[in-house]
Amino acid sequence: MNESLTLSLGRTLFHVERPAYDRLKAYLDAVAKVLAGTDGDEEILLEVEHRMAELFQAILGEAHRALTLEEVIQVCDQMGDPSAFGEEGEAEDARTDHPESKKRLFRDTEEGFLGGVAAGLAHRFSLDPVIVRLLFVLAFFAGFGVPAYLLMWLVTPAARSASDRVQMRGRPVTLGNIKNSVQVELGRVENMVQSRRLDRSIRKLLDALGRVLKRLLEVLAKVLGWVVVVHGSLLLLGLMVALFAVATGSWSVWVDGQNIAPNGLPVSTWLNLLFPESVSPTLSLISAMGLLLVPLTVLVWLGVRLAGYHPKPSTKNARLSVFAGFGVVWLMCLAYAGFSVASIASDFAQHADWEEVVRFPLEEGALLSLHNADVAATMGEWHIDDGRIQAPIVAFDLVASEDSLTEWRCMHSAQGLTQRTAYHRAKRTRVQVEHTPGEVVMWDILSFPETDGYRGQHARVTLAVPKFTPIAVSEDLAMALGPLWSERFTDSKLWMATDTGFVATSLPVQVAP
Amino acid sequence: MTKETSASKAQMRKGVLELCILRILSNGEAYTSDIVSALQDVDLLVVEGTLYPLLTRMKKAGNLSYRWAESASGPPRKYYSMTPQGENMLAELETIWAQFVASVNSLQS
Repeated sequence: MNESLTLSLGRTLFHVERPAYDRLKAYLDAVAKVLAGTDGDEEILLEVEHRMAELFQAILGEAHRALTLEEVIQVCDQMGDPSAFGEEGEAEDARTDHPESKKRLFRDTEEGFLGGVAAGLAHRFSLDPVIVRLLFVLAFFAGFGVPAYLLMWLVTPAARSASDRVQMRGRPVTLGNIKNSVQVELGRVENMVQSRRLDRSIRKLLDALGRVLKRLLEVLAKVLGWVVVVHGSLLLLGLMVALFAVATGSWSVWVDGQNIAPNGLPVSTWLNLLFPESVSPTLSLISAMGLLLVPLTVLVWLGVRLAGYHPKPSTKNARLSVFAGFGVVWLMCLAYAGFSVASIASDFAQHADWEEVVRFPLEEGALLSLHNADVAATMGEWHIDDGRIQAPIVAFDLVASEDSLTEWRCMHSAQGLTQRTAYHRAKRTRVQVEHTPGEVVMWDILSFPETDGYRGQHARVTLAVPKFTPIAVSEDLAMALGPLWSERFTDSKLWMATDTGFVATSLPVQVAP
Repeated sequence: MTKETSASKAQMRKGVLELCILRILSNGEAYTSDIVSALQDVDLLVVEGTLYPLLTRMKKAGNLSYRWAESASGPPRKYYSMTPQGENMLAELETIWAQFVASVNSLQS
């Protein structure tokens, strides 16, 4: 049994099988599209319908039955390819079927959302415009979406005339019409099958296959849409909550309350240390989130469309103003985020060093050790003490001295907007050392005023000891000196600088008189 | 016939189609199907699609008119006939066509 429909063609009623109906409708739509814009198009279309009705009548004669796909294709072929109806119609001989007449890329300003670039591309490559728009949004996250869109907007001509629109579309093979082309294809196979007098059930099977294929595509688009909507919405929600927290200032309490404290300092302190006075950390965070929020919203909106839900039809002007609003917000966010990044980066632009040297005598067998009073410092964490940052960021070297004196040399480094500010920042850093003839205690903690902020402050201490003077290295210091000294420490406690480097020594054992 | 020659054949057909329609109608009124079969019989029309925009344009220009007539079997038929203005046009086109044929033939070596 075949489903059949009744249709009125040129004021005459016909019964038509479902696939034949779809084919006929696609044909008349295509003709109407070609004629669109020509003078008297409706009249011509009516004439075409009349003529087709006449041809069908001639085929059916007195028989009362439904028209088949084969018969519809035959009549359509006789009428000619839809392009033959155009004033410029060149493909007069439509019996040689051109499955895909060449298309040109235009911007579809009628169906487009913004400039019609995505809709134009969709026509060119026979895709659903929503898919192309999604790709643009993804490209946005990859960083080249906006420039790519603007560039294509500039270089692609808009489809202005009816002939432009026909060239843009080529034959109508959009996602919505895949069903039709599938069925035309199936119809051809069907004819072949029929001519070989194969089982009729195969026809039905092919018919069903076409319907299943179309349904499958629809479901696929829906699933993709829902995935985008769900993920996008969750991200949006997260961003909204974060935005609210930042805007109300509760974020630092919340974040620090969760003990998120890189290097032992609360996040809020870190932000104050990193941001120059001219930049507000709160506003910077809000604009950074806005940068993500705007395209995410667009993504979710597209997902909703793909899932099959079409929000109330909006006019092009309404869409443009909503988009312009989003665009302005996004650009403002971009401007402030850019300003923040540039300000922070420029505050790190210049580097300066300041060297501090202390020289003193050392006894044989003297102990070199690391200051080890503060547990937090040894855990590698920073803390604030009396308005100064205390940071265990001092590196150590042990070398041989050129003379009989021991030399503690510390290179303080910092960065700043200018060489001058960087130098003064470096000069305000402190590294302590204590020495007696029998022992040198070195601090591995660099301190600097909290008001200086963190601008890459660090220090490197080089201790030069006289040659051929046995010295003892504490375990803490050995660890701080790096893997080589950590290994040496397990071999011997006493070491001596020579012309060729440090050697282990057991002599002399100092005995108190 | 190559693709190129078939394209120029199509162009030539298109150029004389208006003259041919007027000639057919000079014998009296005819309905669409008559015009189609008359043209197809002498191989001047391959597919019908090209005809309809042309008929509508000629009617709008005032060279043709039509009337509806009920048919015994099937849908009502549209009978086309030539207007006096159309007759003038036919005369002009005939002259042009004669000159055209003469010019083209004169180039024969």
